[in-house]
Parts: sequence; structure tokens; C-alpha cells
Amino acid sequence: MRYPGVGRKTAERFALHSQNHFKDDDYERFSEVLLRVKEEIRPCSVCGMFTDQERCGICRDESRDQTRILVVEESRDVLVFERGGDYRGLYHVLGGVLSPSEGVGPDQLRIRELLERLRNHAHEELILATNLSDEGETTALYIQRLLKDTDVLVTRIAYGLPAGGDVSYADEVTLGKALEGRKKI
Amino acid sequence: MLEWLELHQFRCYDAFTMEPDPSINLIIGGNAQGKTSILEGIHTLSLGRSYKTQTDGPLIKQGSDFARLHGRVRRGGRPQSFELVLSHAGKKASVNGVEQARLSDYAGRLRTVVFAPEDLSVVKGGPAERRGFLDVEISQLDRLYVGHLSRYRKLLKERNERLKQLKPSDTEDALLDVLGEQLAHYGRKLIRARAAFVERLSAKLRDIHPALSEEDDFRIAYQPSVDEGGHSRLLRERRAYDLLRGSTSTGPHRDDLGFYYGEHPVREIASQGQIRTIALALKLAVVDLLAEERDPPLVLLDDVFSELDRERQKKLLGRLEGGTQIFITATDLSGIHLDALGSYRVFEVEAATIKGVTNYG
Ligand SMILES: Nc1ncnc2c1ncn2[C@@H]1O[C@H](COP(=O)(O)OP(=O)(O)OP(=O)(O)O)[C@@H](O)[C@H]1O
Ligand SMILES: [Mg+2]
Ligand SMILES: [Zn+2]
Repeated sequence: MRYPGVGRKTAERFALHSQNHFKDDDYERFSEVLLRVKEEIRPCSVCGMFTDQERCGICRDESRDQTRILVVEESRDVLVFERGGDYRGLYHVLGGVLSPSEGVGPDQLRIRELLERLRNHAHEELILATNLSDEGETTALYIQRLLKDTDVLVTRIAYGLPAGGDVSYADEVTLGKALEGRKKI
Repeated sequence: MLEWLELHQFRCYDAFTMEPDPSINLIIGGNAQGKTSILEGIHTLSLGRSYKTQTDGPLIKQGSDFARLHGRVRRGGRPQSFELVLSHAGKKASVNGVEQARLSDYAGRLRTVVFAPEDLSVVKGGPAERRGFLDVEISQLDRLYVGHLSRYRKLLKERNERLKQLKPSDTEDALLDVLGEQLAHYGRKLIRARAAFVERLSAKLRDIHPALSEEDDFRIAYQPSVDEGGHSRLLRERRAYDLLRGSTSTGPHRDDLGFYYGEHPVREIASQGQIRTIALALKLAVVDLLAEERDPPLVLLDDVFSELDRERQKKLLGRLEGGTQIFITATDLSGIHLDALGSYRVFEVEAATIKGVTNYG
């Protein structure tokens, strides 16, 4: 078992630090927390975001805009949007992207749950915020196709240049998408 | 112009360095001494991958973990440095010390055209060899092509995988719809680029081929598997068939290139010598196209030069523009008509080391 981003040197530092600075109950607390991660953290029954409750804080917050759902690949994408603070609607975490070659089809993602949510509640807009990778595009186009005969408005977040981005350094895909998503000023 | 080359743990070479002549370089040595490996090194440095292998593994010296290729190129005033590191885990390419995030940003800056015995299979071999020729040469002319090609291949793999996962009766599948549309989107770009390339190549060949051969009605024709606008529709129409086979039956991955004397397919009637002439003409046409866009590419002639008669050796060199830097391999100097060369430098290669360097002319 290995954590991503932790190489041998860092792991050695972690081990030495624990040996030099952990007290006996630190070891106990550490293992308790690890066990709680396993036992108490689970996906929210509505949106799929990780939570220690049946429904996550965002789904329980009635002050949030209940008419919009923003669809992301992973829970960490929710954290990114929340840090930005501009979005006040709900989320739906797919748990990945469609990639038949990796064995991920519609049944492996939380797409059925998404359709159910849309059937049971009158959400007006679905904002697709999967990545601009081939798989992210496939997934967005797929969801759009499933909903094309419903009255839910399906939108795709605009892609473009990063803040401070230089047009002359941008790649072809980014520039193409930025142009596609241009708006009147 | 390549003014300095280093190959570390590349093929048979441990720590190889070479200072090429600006015009003609003759690399002379017995069989299996390391001549081709030098040309392959130059070509790999230029495109980021070898024309001889699908993977980088065989390029790394046996027993080593990685290979490092370095070249210094001068264009006008400032030298540019190219470096490529190949490992079993992946590769890293840098220009002037700056690592390039994507291979498509690297490939095509230093351009080369290889004339090798393998070229004959472009004419004699199967459609896959001809598509390989199109892909390698278009990549050097059209920077976007590399990216489109790799996206197309990725999506093709996804669609084929989906076809295998479904039952033959599952003809209604929204994911197949989407993958088909994405595939057609990139397929269209490939078809357009290939058609444009073959058209420009044909124009060049109308000049070049008659100069090398008695046959005056040689022509090539792009044979796309689908027309540019019809791929999406065809993918839907043939879905039941594709589901049965578990793979995609139409698209640029099934394209071909036809070679004809008049109306007769070359393969059925051409002699060995005629096939060799066609292969040579094709590569010369590519050199012309590249030279037209920027400075002339490096020209690498592996074994093919000494197989040509005196007349053709002269014609070949005559076709190449004055400033073209050329690398020629041969087992000995006797097969080369030196009087046609002007000034040149000879490198004698033995057991993966340079035993001697001599300047002539
Ligand atoms: N990855 C590798 N590690 C070590 N040696 C290799 C590797 N790949 C190839 N070789 C060896 O390098 C040697 C030189 O091969 P190369 O193709 O350059 O020879 P050559 O001089 O062109 O010969 P020929 O005249 O027969 O074409 C061969 O003995 C070959 O087996
Ligand atoms: Mg050889
Ligand atoms: Zn939730």
C-alpha cells in the first residue's frame, strides 16, 4: 500500500518523524483516524461526494440553489469549485470518466443515479464540468445525448486560457475551445 | 545543419560522438558494425521515435536503463540543442534545455528523411506500411497531424473495446454514438491532411519519377476508406457488422495509397529495379516538399545509395538542393562514385567505434 506522491525519501522522513516525535497515544490516535476513514467516510447517497453522513453538507444545505446540478468526475473537483466560492448550486460526482478500454462503461459511473435525481426533482440546469480530456469529452457528450429529449437545460462549462494565459503559448485544443466558448462583452 | 551528435547507450553505442560535415558524410564499415544505428539515432533525435521499431525498448543498449541522444543544430546564426532521453518508462525531449511537455511540440523541428531498404515495403508491402509512410511524413509537414492521429487512435481503441463489450444485438447504444462522432471528427482531419499531402506529392512526382525512370505514366492515388464527410453515417450504417466483428471496419485506419503505371497497379508488373526507383522518387518528393516549407531536411541514405548505378547516384545528388546535409552508409567506398560528390567526409566505423575520419575535396 502506497500513498500517491510519496516517494522513498519522503516515506523515510515520515517514519523517522513518527519515531522521534510520536507519543504512545499519537500512534493510537493515528490508527483510529485511519480506521474511521474506512468505516465512516462514504459517498453521499444523493451526489456521491465523500461525507461522514448519509447526505453531505452541500446536499443538506437548503440555502443552496436547488435548480442547478454541476457534474464533475471526482470528489476533489467539488472541493475546487467550493474553494472558488462562485457556484452555489448542487453537485453530482460521477466517480470517473467513460473509457471502455479501462473497463469503465456507463454502469461503472454514477450515471443512473444522476438520471434518477433528474426524474425525481425539478432541476432546471445540468452543468457538465468533466475534464477536457478525450474521456471527459466522451462522458459529457454521452450525458448530453441521454438528456436530449428532456426539458433539462444541459450546458458545458467554457474552456479557455488560464488566468494570465498567453495566447501565443496556448495549444490548439485550448484555443479552439476558447474560441467556441467566446461571449459578447 | 547537424554540427554535433552524441549517442549514449543507444543501440550498440556506449558513448558515441561525431562531428558531421555540412554537406556529405560517408559512413563506411562492415556488416553489423553500427552504420545504420547512427542514421537511426539521427532520425530518432529528430522525430522522437524510430522508423524501425514500434517501441523504444530495442533502441536502448542491452543492459542499460536508458538511452540519451543529443544533437547540436545550426540554422543561420544560433545553434539549437536537441536532447532525447528514452527509458523503459517513457521519454523526455528537450530543446535548448527546455523540456517539451508533448512530443508533438518536439517532433518536426529537426526534420529528416530516411532512404532505407525498408522503403521497398511501402510499394510492395501492405496498406499498413503505406499508412505508416503517410503518417511519418505528414507529421513533419503538419504540426497538428501528430495530435489528431494520436486522438484518432485512442478513440478507435475505445470504440473497438465498446463493440466487444456489447452483444451483437445491442445496436442502440448512446456511447457508441458518441464515440463514433468523436472518431469521425478526428478522422475527417486525417483524411483531409492525407488528401492534401498526396496531391502535393503527386505534383512533385510528375517531375521526379520520369527523371529517374523510363516509365513516364507513373502516378499515385490516395484511396481513403471513407469520404471526408461520410464517416459518421457509415459508422452508423455498419454498426451491426462492426458489433459482430468486434472492431471498426471503416475509417482512416483502413486507408491505402495506390501506385500505378497508367491504369496498372505497379505491384503486379514492376521489376525490383522499378520498385526501388519508385521508393526513391517518393522520398525525394518528400524532401522537396519539406525543403519548400523551410530549410531542407537532413537526408539519410541507408545502404540504398551504393545500390544505384552511377547515373542514378548523380541524378539523386543533383535533385537535392545545394545546402542539403547528407549521410550515406555503405560497406565500402567501391560502390560509391566519388567523383560525383564534391567535398565529403568519410567516417570508418568498426565494432561501434569510429576508427578514422578523413576529409576529401
Ligand atoms: N539495443 C541494442 N543493444 C546492443 N546492441 C544492439 C542493440 N540493437 C542492435 N544492436 C547491435 O548493433 C550492431 C550494429 O547494428 P547496425 O544495424 O547499426 O549495423 P550496420 O553497420 O548497419 O550493419 P549492416 O551493414 O548489416 O546493415 C548489431 O550487431 C546489432 O545486433
Ligand atoms: Mg545497416
Ligand atoms: Zn451530497
